Amino acid sequence: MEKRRSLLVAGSTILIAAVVGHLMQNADRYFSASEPATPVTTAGQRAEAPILRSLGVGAITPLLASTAPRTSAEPVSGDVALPYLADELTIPQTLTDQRGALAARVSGLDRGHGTIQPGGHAYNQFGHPCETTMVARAKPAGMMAVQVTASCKPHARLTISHDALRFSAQTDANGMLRVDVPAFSATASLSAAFRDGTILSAIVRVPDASEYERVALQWRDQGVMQLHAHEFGAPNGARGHVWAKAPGDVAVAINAKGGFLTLLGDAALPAASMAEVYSFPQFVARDSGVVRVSVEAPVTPANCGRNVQAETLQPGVGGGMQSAALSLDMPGCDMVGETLVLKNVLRDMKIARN
Amino acid sequence: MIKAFLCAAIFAALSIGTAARGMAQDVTLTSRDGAIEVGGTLLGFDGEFYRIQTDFGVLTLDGQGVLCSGTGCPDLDAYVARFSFSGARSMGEVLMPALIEGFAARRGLSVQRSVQGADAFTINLHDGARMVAQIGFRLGSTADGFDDLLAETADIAMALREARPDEIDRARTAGLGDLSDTARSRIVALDALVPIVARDNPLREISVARIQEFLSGQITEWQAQAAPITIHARAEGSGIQELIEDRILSPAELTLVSGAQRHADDADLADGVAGDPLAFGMARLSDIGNARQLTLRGSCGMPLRATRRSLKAEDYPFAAPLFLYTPARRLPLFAREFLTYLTGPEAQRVIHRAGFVNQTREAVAVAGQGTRLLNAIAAAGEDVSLTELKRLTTALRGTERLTTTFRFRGGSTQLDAQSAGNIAFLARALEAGEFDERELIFVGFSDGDGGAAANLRLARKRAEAVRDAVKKAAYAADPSRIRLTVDAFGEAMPMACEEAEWGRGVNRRVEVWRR
Repeated sequence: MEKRRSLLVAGSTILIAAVVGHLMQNADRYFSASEPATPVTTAGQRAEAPILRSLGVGAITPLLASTAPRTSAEPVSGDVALPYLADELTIPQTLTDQRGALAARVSGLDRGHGTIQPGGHAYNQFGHPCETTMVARAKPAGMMAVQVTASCKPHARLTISHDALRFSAQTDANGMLRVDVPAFSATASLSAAFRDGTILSAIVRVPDASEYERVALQWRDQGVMQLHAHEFGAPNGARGHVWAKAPGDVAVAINAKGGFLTLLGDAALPAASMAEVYSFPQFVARDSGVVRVSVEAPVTPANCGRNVQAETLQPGVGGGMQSAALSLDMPGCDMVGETLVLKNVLRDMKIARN
Repeated sequence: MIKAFLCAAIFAALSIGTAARGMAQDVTLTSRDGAIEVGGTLLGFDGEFYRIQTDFGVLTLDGQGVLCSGTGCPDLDAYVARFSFSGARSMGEVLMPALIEGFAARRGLSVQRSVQGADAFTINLHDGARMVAQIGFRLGSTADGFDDLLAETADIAMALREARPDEIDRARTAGLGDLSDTARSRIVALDALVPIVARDNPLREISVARIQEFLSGQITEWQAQAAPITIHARAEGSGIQELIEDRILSPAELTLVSGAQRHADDADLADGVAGDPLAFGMARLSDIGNARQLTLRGSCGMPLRATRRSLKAEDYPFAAPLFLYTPARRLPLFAREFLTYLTGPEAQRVIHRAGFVNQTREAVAVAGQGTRLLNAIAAAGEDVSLTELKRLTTALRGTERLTTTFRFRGGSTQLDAQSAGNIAFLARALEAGEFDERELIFVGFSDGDGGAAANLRLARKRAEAVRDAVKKAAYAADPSRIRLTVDAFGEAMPMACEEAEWGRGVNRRVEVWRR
């Protein structure tokens, strides 16, 4: 019995190490179309190298200690695993406790939940067990409602990625984050990377994602460029001119009457990744026509005469989004107050009548 | 090595591109078997060929056949292909960048666009951290593109029209070879000049004569609204305005009315017309924006409308394909591979997605050709007998018409640019076995000028000439698997009214039917 248990430990440890390692290396393009189509959550615990080396019962203690989710005082860059201190309350565990925890974990695996709970032995300051999950579900207009729960990571910074889209966000005091993200494909995969190296992922089936044409603009830090859409010849400032200050309405898009802009990213964070995604229903309840999509860059005292950068995303030939870096030389400071309009870095959308 | 020297002999006369004109330094090129060695000063390396100055003169050697030693040797890993496009804004804004992005995606290269201003940008392609190509764009008019090509400040010209005689002369004088040579130009995508109005304008159809009257200012008021017509046009000197002059105004010895509202680009023009119910303009089909395209209707009643299919079949008279012109010198390998990519199926999908008409062949069953049959019946009379009509309908049975159609330059037996390209497209399809065990019928038609018997003979002669040209170009095809036959119906089944040369030009054609 003892031998079997330790083999189970070894087996699950290697599995965790393999899954997490793979996730960390391939977070961007991890999920393929062959993944399950229903919402799936995966806990993102970190496995460390020493675990793989010792397979005996003695390995249980470090295993449980190291797999407990924790927030890190030191941000970890990239996917290099560094040792760090847990700063939440951890109740000392006896060997018996640990065996019980192991049984819970193994049965969790048996149930195929993919959610590995470390036995609830770590708690946050409110006395809630540490739990780190990401769940996404489909919403109308080809959107995904994303919920990240990281009860032991309050006010933690994370980067959410979907296809080539990427933006920075922050959990609240309870370690929660809710955000709506446009889906770029019917089977959409999402990942969330915390600075301590924890990576969460989810796949969600968004059947009506393909009914929306989308383009996006994203950048780091101070935004200089803005995405503008002029629907069916709408002049500046009129209804149908959609941009950050007039982002439109999802309800209008659901009725196939107009598009909307989704603003993503938390500008309060330093050097945050920000994104603007414009969505328009492919078939409209009116005459066919064109939505003119442009990128505008107002010349300000802060950016005049300098080079500014962003990234554009638009549909590629293969079906996914194609990204291109965009670098722009801003005019000199005598032009402050003017706005540069790039009409063609993003293609106009040709919309057919339904 | 003999091969390398043959290469040298062939390419010695050609100059290498502006790309990678390195510092003149000493190199030694040795054949891979070590048998032959050539020393000299490196003049350039284009990613594939070395060009060196030797005691024997300038030699160009295939890089794959030789090893380079000496201080002047290029760092093969650090080689960046540099070349540039200049010319028509209509092509440089959306179409060409989309194609470069498609090509980059296929090769797994990342794309960076660096915008220098309203008229200039650079696309940098990286393989990981290493830059592999830097492609410059200068947006202006078609004429600017030819100027830059002649001045060698650009490597590829983007043109909305073919080179004009004076441009061909200038190129020849400058020692840049013959721009009218078919090897120097290629059609990237198809487009057309179309009349447009705002959506709330009640007009749906217009005759070419009326377009001429509107554009020249002979008619200045909308009849229905009793209000003045605003003419919208692109800036003077733009390729599309030159096309309008060449194809619509000049044949009637007219000029564009003064006081037309001028626009800097196609989108502005379309938006200007779409926003003004009293506006009229001629735009490119690929950017009519939110305006409405008018159908052309001749005095005999046959309607012509620019659509994807009518452009591919050149049944619409004011086709305006989009050209790239290349210099007689060798472009960097990367640029040549990009140009080859443009003819492939993946590029056709990119072209379609970018909102342009590509050159993918389509087939239209007889059932979809109702208008043509009505035209044929309407045209029956003195010259076209009932027997001939019956023969036509019998021949049509069980066939599909390919959109590949061959048309001729004004009154001549010379194929126009799109048709010349079609010879190669069709030949390649034959070689690929696309029509194995099928019959392709080359069917000649003529205009109605002159006697019916003479027209029938002429039509058959043209059909035979096209069939022979395709056969010759498809030298790798298996002749036992394909039947290429010829038929002719002279002036039966016209496509356009023949009140003017453009209508007769549409009717003089060789169609391809598949059975």
